[in-house]
Amino acid sequence: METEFLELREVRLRLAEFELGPLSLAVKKGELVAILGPSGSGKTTLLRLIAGFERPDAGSIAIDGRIVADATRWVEPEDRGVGMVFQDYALFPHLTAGENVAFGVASSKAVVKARVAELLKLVGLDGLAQRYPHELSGGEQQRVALARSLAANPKVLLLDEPFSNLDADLRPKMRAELKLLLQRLHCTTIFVTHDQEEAFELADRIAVLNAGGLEQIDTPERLYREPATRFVAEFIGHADFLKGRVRGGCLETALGCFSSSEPLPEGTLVDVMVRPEEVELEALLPSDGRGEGLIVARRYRSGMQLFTVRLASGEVVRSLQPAGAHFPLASRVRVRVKTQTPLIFPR
Amino acid sequence: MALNHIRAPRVRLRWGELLSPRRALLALSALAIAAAIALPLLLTLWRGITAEFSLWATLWQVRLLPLLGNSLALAGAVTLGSLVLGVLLAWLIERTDLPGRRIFGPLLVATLVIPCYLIAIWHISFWGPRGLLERSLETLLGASVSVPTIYGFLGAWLILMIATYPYVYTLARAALRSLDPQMEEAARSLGARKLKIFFKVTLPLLAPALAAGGLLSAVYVLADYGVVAALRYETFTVAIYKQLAGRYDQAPAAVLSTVLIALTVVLLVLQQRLWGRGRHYYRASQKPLPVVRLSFWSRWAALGLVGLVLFLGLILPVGVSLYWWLEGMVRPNPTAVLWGTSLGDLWRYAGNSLFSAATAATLALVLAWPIAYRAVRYDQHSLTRLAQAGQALPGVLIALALALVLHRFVPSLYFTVWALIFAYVIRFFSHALQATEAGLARVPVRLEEAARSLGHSTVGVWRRVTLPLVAPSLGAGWTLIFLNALRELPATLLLRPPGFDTLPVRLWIAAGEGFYAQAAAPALLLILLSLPMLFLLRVGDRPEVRHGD
Repeated sequence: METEFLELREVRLRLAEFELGPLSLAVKKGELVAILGPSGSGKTTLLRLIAGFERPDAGSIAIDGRIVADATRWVEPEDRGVGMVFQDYALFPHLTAGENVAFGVASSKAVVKARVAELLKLVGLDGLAQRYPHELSGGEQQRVALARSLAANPKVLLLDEPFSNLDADLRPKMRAELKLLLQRLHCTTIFVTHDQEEAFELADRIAVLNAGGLEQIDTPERLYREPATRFVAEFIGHADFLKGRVRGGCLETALGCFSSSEPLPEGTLVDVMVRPEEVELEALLPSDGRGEGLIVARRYRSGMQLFTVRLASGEVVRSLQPAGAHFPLASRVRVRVKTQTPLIFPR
Repeated sequence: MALNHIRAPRVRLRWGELLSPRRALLALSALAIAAAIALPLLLTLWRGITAEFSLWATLWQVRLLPLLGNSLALAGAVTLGSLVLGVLLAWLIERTDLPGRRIFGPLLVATLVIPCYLIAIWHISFWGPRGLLERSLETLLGASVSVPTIYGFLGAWLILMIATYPYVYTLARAALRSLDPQMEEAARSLGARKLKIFFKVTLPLLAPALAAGGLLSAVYVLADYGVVAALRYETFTVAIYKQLAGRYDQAPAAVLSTVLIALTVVLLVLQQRLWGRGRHYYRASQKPLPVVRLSFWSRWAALGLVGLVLFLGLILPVGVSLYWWLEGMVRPNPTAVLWGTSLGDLWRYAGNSLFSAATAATLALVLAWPIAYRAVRYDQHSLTRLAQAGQALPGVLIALALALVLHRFVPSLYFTVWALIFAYVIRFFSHALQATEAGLARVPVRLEEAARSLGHSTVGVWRRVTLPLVAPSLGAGWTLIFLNALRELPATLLLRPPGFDTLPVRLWIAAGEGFYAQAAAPALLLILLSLPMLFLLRVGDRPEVRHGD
């Protein structure tokens, strides 16, 4: 079980618009991996490389112990056993839902029929086999596309932005359904998304992609707690950075001194990461003087308030506070950071 | 991917519109125009249906069965041929690395510039008995050689295929271009091989467009007069023409016409159905389809095919007409005076052609306005259908229909230029309607209302908002009708007043008598005047331009 089921080694691909890689990635059998990144970061290209619609310029791709692409070997997409669910589903418009699902099943008629019925039932579409794609809703189309890919018994299932074409109010429901289904099938799955919430909810591990390169692949928890790069830190959740300088074994910033987890030479300039939930605010009495910060904006976010505070240094940090907290706009506050050893990034 | 459009039900004012004087005037004028346009055809149908049973019975045995056989065989063979040729060429241009495909792409449609009866005439003068080919072979070899005859089914099939493949070609190209590359990728990721993908995915997706293009070819063959007449292959149009021109017996002509109309209507309805369904499937795809690399031999074979098609459809007709023209200049024939091919005469024919075509185009647009306005602004399309009755019907038939009506009701108009112009208007009225409706659709009522709220008078709004927005469509529509009327042959032959010869009539008669040198000048002038068609083809990629029949 704990072997690398899908492995990309030093894969590189140069396209007209941008360059992907060199990039290495390993996925275990039955694992659900999300590829997360901003648009144009090469997420879909990575999927297409695995599916065999693009040929890498260098490096190798192996699926289930078999090299499917390297400098000398090449396995066509139809022989890879990789199922792909396209972003807009790519259902065959001239075939019914049932015929779409049956497309990849090569067997006797009775077997095909049984398999189609089984899969449509699995995705909760029994009874809609006779419908044409344009007679189905977006969610139903997506489930047909999923059933069609699963029907061919793929070794690896690839999903390209599976929820982006669905209405916003439909997404959480479809997400939960897909998660249950994939857990039940124990199918190795890679899906592409630009939506963190989606990646965090579904994936065992998340690979963060930026400008054609892999920044980090890790569990959601660790991505948030220990981002490997500044890009990941900024991309996953909210993060603010304070300028810091090492002086006398202490990291000096606008919000006071922090200790560094590793010894740094005197005078080193660094960026200190601060998450909004680590930032504490305290209202100032008129007698308390100027304090450290000025409240410049307030925004509600799922039952909490996110305050933006401008510091005397001109830097800006955000603070997450319960809904009941009261800090009027343009009021002065005292700002404290809870952690003693924050993450630091070289400047 | 919401492909099914749900239309909100609309309240239709039917009798209510008569309550407002402006609406009433519009409705009544639209009705009158539509009736006038459709009446001749309806009357022909009526005459045909109510003809005595004995006439039907006799005709059925003697004329209808062989004619049906001839027409359907030709239509079927041409459709099949142009489907294969059109799809193959479209595929070569769109999806392979054929050298020069950027130049060949538009050139392959450019054959539409040459009226198809012209293609037929020049092919006859080339391949025919005592034609250019035989004579040059004789001079070369010193012995007489006989070339297989071009007359009859095979010749008609070849020329009509050359004439109609562009319809399939344009539709197939558009369909190939709009194919979603993801369809093939999805099929591959499901384990399908190339052949399975072609037959189960690509072909079914192209099928609606191909069927539509094929039916367009079939309708075209049924309507054609010039090619089949020149190549002496008897179809319905030729038979009707003979009935009218020779014996002038209207009853049998009406019976034949009724059958032909029925045939055409069936095909047209089928075509519209398929085209409507086909559009359902297509979605603009962002990525171009992958290009197929041709091997060395297939590349040369493909170039040979493209070259052959261009030779038959473009190079030979233009080349031969140039040859005959020069021949006439170098060796003036004494009979040329009889044929009136001096420069002055030529200008007179050209003048006649230009006058009748321009008047018809203008009149058609004026008459189309009330119907189109009512259709677009008040969503009442019933009259549009009625007024489009002349669409795709053979010119012979429209001539017959007009002859019937004028003969009975307004004999003073019979054999006047106006009868001819009215025939053009009926024939090409659907272009006028489409252009005007397309133009009006670009001017929502809100725009006019906005202009009025900014303080402009009705006339001012018209001049400054409506007209500038509608004008481009009207211009395109006018050009389309003008060019199609310019090359119209059968209705002109039947309805023109004595002495009123147009360019097509002149070249047709001269060529018919074998005086090719005398046909060359009007033919070249006609081709020159048709050149703007290239622009229309480029802009629209629409199969509306007719070859002229």
